[in-house]
Amino acid sequence: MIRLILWLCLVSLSSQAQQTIGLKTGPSWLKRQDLVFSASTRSAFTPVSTGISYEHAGQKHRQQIQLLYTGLTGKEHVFTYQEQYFNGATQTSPSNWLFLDLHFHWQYVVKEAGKYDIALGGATAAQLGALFYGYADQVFGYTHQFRVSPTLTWRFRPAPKHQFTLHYEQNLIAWVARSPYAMNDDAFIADQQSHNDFRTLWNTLGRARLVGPAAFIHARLQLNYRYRLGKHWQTGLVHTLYYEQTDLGAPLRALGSHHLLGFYYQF
Amino acid sequence: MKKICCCLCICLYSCTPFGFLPEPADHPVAVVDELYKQFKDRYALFEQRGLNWDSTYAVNRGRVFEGMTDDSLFNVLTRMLAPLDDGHVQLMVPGKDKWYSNRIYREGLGFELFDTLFIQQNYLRATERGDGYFKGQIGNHLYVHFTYIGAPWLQLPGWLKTMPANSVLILDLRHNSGGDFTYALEALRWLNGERRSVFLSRTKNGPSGDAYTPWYNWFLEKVDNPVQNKVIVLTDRFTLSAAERTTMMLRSLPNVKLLGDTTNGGISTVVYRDLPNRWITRIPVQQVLSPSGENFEGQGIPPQEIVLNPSAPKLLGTDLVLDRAIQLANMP
Repeated sequence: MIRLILWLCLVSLSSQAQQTIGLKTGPSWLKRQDLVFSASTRSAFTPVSTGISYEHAGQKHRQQIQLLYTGLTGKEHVFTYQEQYFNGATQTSPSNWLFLDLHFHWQYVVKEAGKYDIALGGATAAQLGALFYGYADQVFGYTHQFRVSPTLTWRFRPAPKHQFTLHYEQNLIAWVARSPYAMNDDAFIADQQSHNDFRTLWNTLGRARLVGPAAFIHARLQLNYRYRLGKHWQTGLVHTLYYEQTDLGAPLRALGSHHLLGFYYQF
Repeated sequence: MKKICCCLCICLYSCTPFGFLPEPADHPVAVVDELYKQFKDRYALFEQRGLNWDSTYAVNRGRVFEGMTDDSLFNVLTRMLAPLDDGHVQLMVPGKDKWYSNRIYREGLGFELFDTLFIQQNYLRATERGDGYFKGQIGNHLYVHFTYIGAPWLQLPGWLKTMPANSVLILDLRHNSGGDFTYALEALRWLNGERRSVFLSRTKNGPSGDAYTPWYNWFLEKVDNPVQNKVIVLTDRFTLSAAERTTMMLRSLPNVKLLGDTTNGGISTVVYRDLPNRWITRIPVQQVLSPSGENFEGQGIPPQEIVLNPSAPKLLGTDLVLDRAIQLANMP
C-alpha cells in the first residue's frame, strides 16, 4: 500500500498538473439503524459539515484527498420524566454522532471523448466515529473503518466554465471496528478505563476486524458540479449519497448524504 | 478471466440483501413483544433472579390489546418487570416518575434513614462540598461521602496522602447509586500494596441463552507505598451498581471494615434500550461474581457488622451507623 501511494505521488509530480485546494461546507443528513443501540431507525442532521480538499490532476492521472468533519444531532422525540431521587424533572437526550472522514482517491482516465471522460481508480478512506446515542442519558459508542474501494468516475464538460463529475465507489475490503453487541461489555469498559479520549480511541481501533464486501458494504455516489469563476478560483456543489451495511456484532444500516458548497483555488 | 472476475464481483456485492430492517410497530402489542425480546436477548440475570421470563411474558401478553391507554400499557410493562426486583431495571415514560423494578428504590423503603444534611450539620467540621461529594473532619478522622462513582473519586488519593497516620477514613457509600466503577478502581489503588482480583464479570453477547463473553477478571492494581490508614465503609440498601462494585473492591483490602446495611444487589453493568413507542428501559447485561465465586446479585453485599438506623436520624437525633463507625475509628 505504501509503495502504491509513493508511486502515485511520483506519477503526480512527474507530469504537468493542476493543483487545487478547496474548502467545503453544507448540511448533512443521516438515517441510521444500528441494532447495537436500537431497533428503531434514527435520523440526524447538521446544517454545517466542513471539509478541506486537495486535488491534483494530470493528463491521465487524478488524485484527491479530503478531510470532512460531520457533527450530527439526532431528531429523536425527547420527553420529560421525573427523577424522584436526583434531579426532579429530567429530559431525555437526543443523539449526537461525530464523524471524521479522511478520503483519498486516485483515478486513471481510460477513455476520453470530446466533452467527457471516464476514469477508473481506487480509493482508501478512513472514518473515525464517536456515537452518543440518546436515551435518558447519552450512551457512548464507536464506529471506525478503513476501506479500500475500486472507483468509477464519469466527467462531463458541457462548456469551458462548467464541469460535472459523477463518481461511484464501493469497498472491496474494509477494516471495521464497532461497539460490541452488548454496548457495554468488560472489554469496552476496559478500553475507556484511562478516561483519556485518545487512549480510548486507540483501544477501540484495536478492536477492528478485516472483512470483505459480504460482511461490510460502504457504497458511495457523488455528483460534483464545478463552475470556473476566473483563472484561479472555482466554486461548486458536491452532493454525496452513501449507504452502509453490516451484520458484524449486530445489524447496521445507514443512509446518509452531504450537500456541500465548495470554494476552490487552483494553482 | 475478465468474465470470472466480473461474476465474482457481482456475486460478492449482490449476495447480501440491501435495505433497512423492518422496525417494530408502535402499538401496545408490539411494545410488549419488543420489551420481551429486548430482555430475552440481553438480560443476563434471569437465573440469578429466579424468573421464568417466557411464562411472565405469556401471562402478561394476554392483558394487552389494541387501543389500550398508555397508563394500562405502563401497568402491563411494569407488571412484567416488577418480579425481577432489580435496581437496574427501570422504565422512563413521558410525564411519569422513573419506575424502578427494585421495590426498595420504587417505594423509597428506608430512604429517610440516611440524611446528608444531618451529618453535615451535626458531625462534620471543616466541611467541603464539591460536585458529587462532601467531606469533613470528625475528630482526627476523615469522613467522605460520594453521591456517585465518577471523576470526583480521583481526588481521593490526594486526600488520603494528607491523612495523619492514626486517622481513619470513613467512606460513606450510603445512597450512592453508582456510576463508572473504573474511577474507584483507579482511586483505591492508593490503599493497595499488592495486585488483587476484585471481581469477575461476563456479558451477554448474543440472543441465545448461553451467549456470554468469557469471564473477565478485574484487578485492583497496587502502588509501591500504599496508604496504611484504616478504612470504614458504610453501605445501605440504596448502595447500588458501581457503588457495589466499589464495595467489592474495598472488601478485598485487609484494612477495611464494612458497616451498615446490605447493599441493594444490583451489580451488573447496564444498557439503555428504547421501545417502539419511544419509552426507554434499562437492561443489566452482565453477571458479576466475587473472586471466590460468590454471587451478590439480587442479594446484596452483606456488611461485616450490621448497624441500622431504626428511623430517620433527624427523629433519632443521631446517626447510629456513623456513631458506630466513629466508635470503631477511635478504638486503638
